[in-house]
Amino acid sequence: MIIKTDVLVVGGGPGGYVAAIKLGQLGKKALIVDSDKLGGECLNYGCIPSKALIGASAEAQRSRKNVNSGFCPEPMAIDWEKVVTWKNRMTSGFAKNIALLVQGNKGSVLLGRRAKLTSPHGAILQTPQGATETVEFEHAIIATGSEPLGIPGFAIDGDVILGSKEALDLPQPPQSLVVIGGGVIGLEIGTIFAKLGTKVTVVEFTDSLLPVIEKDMTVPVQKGLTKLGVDVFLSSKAKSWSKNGALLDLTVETPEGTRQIACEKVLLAVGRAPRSKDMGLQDIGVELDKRGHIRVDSEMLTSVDNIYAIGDVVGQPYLAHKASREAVLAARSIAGLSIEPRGHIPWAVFTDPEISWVGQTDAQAAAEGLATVTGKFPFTASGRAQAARDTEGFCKVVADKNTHRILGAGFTGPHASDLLGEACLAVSAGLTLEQVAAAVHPHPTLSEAFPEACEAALGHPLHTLPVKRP
Amino acid sequence: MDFDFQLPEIGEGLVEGEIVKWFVKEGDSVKENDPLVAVLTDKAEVEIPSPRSGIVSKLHATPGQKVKVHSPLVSFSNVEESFSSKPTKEAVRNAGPLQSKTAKTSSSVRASPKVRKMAQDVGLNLAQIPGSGPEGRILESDLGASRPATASLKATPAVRALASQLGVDLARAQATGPGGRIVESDVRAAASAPKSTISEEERVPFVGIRRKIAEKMTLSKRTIADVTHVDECEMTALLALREELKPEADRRGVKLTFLPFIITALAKTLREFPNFNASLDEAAGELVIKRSHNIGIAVSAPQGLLVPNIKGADAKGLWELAAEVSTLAEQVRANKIDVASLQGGTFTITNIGPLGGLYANPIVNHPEVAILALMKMQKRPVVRDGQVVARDVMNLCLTFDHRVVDGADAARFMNALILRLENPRTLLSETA
Repeated sequence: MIIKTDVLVVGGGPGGYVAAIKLGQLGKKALIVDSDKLGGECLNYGCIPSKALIGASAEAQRSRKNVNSGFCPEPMAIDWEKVVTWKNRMTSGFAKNIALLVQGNKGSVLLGRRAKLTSPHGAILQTPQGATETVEFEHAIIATGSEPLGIPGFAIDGDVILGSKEALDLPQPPQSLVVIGGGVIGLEIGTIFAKLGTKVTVVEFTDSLLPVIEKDMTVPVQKGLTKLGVDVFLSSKAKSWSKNGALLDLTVETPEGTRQIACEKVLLAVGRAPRSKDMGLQDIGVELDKRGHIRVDSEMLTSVDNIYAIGDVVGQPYLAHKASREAVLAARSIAGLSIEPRGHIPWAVFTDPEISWVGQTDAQAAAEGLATVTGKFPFTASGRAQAARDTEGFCKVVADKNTHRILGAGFTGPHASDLLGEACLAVSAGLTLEQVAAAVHPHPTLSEAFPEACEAALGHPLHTLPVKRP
Repeated sequence: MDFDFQLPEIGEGLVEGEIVKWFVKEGDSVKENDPLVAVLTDKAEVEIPSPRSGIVSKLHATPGQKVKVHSPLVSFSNVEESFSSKPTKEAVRNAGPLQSKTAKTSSSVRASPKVRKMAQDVGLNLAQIPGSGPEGRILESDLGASRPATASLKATPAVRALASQLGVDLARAQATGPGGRIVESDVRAAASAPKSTISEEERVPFVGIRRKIAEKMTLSKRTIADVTHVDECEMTALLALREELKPEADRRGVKLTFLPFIITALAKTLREFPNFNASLDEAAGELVIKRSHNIGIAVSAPQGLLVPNIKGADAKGLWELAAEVSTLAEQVRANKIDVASLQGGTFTITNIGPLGGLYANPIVNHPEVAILALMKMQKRPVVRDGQVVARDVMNLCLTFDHRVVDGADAARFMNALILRLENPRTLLSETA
């Protein structure tokens, strides 16, 4: 059977399904093909399930804190297996709704099939049973995402060596867990289990946790990990492992010499790689870069004139909202609309406390030759943070010294991820420090931190004393 | 079969043309009606299409060279062979699903590694190119066949639109995108790059219509004793009349600008002052007074400034003029004007006003006697009945050949013209 469609969308994650919806709105029929479920890594194995479990473990942790503050008589008991079941029910509900959204925008969905491009206008779909179907299309969008990287000696087996996907489906928290990789995924999941009482050890290859994030932003997280009793080995390398009864013996090279760490499970979170192989991409002329990312232009068009690519498979940062935005750009290009800027891609890390940022950091702006001013507002000075007993962290804003235009802003602290929305708007609209400071914010809320940080950058904060500038 | 193509007659009375640019080179295969060459005549640049399909075996002239009508221009070989199945690059690029029905993939077609690399470099999909070699092998010549000169520039429509919006010549942009495509950032970089990074100046060939204009202007300035006479004209009544005629214009599907009114007023005034509709034949020592009133309109087009004229404007009604004005302008902009429309003008209007300007000193379109520039129309304070009031006013600048007419004639001519324009109902009647 030959299936005809305007646009073949390979991958049904936050890139692919958004592309299909947008294409439908712009008058193009899209067909999503995915080997797994709709929603992709984000909905099924990443962002959403991890946030569900982070929320659950945070409540458990909170209840212990509440006992100490006299808010409740005893720590909350948590039935982890039920939590995980609830999490899976929730995500599969989302997946159903995505299908409805796609179909409501005249798109269609074929799951359980791998697509292989045979020409710029043709692909074959393979089912696990070996059956094939042929698709003919005018355009294609590759939105196949990324997959976890491995390191020598540590193949994910789903039993003792886990990827993030397996770690989020454990029916019981392990007694002990070694997290290889002190990046975002490793720390988010490590924190979940640390809060459930698991002994967590982090082994990081570089000399800092969250290596890509500015140092001052990560300090509260480091403090939080110490409080949770997480051991951290920096500049260290996991070499090998062996079974020792019910436990594993892990050999780790640290700056102080080789160590043996016993643990029940290992979480491998050393990074991800684009999923661009075995799809016939290069055979039809789609160029990849050295790391396997598909090369695209600002319209998300690849080297083949009717093949687009979006999301993780085209490059860092591997974030769902980047994929969704790129999906819109690709759909617009297919519909013949003019180029829109992609815009700044914000990010949020759901550690404890959370960290978030949008736009340029001070260092990035300086590297572009811009003179900057920065302002900070600590949550210790926020009435609401005090009242909620959650005062770690701060808001930070970076602005152009001459124009006072806000170049970047972010938070580390309670609700840092949710607070970032306003900063996204300020950066994308090119607002100035004065404009944000002049917008009245409700009191008492954490949202006041942003205008306060802007006032601080201007040198006259209201609820902190100005930092003397040299 | 071989075939020699001679320079055809490209306009009445034209005996030669200058080669501006070849669109083909020797060895190229061309299809019937593919553009072959741009030829410059006295009046305009003309694109000459290929009369046959075949392979170009010889070009008989180089750019800048003059070729007489009926002398050899291009020789073709293999004209019998059909090349119509050979896709152009555009056709390949725009290949829709229909062409994809071939189940061939790039890897399944026959082609040498070198050809594969070349195809990849220019973004051609081998699966969609018919090969002319043994067993359908795709040869180097198959890739190059009938590829237009601009084909090496790869860019999406949106990027092309951005380039034209930013005034960037795509050829100046350095392609860094996937598949050697020029992408948004390349266009933006080209737009912000200093115009000349290597040298302080850039030398551009001064050829084609630009050089023709230069020659004509020099001739005019050298021979004509030009004087410019300026006056202002109140347009209130004309504006009102145009407004009144709008429903009629809509009904007729005509865009009614001021130009038809001005042409009518001018034609009537020229009838009154025939020496302004004339040319001086110095050699014969005679003033040639033209019986027809062929009013030229200077039109700025991508290929240069052209002056098509409206033949017998005095005999044409307002609506006829309106239709003809817009047709001529469209033909010029589409580069489809016929040479006849560019010949035989007797008086020229240059309408600078929509772009702006209070005063200009236009140069007479030799061998005519005068040229009228229409300047910016705007509300200006004027004194009426001892009161300063705001009125729609337009300056008219008339440059005339003082060898033929005098300043007093020009003033009277202008007065008569302004009187008509300020009392525009007279333009609707056959007399006056």
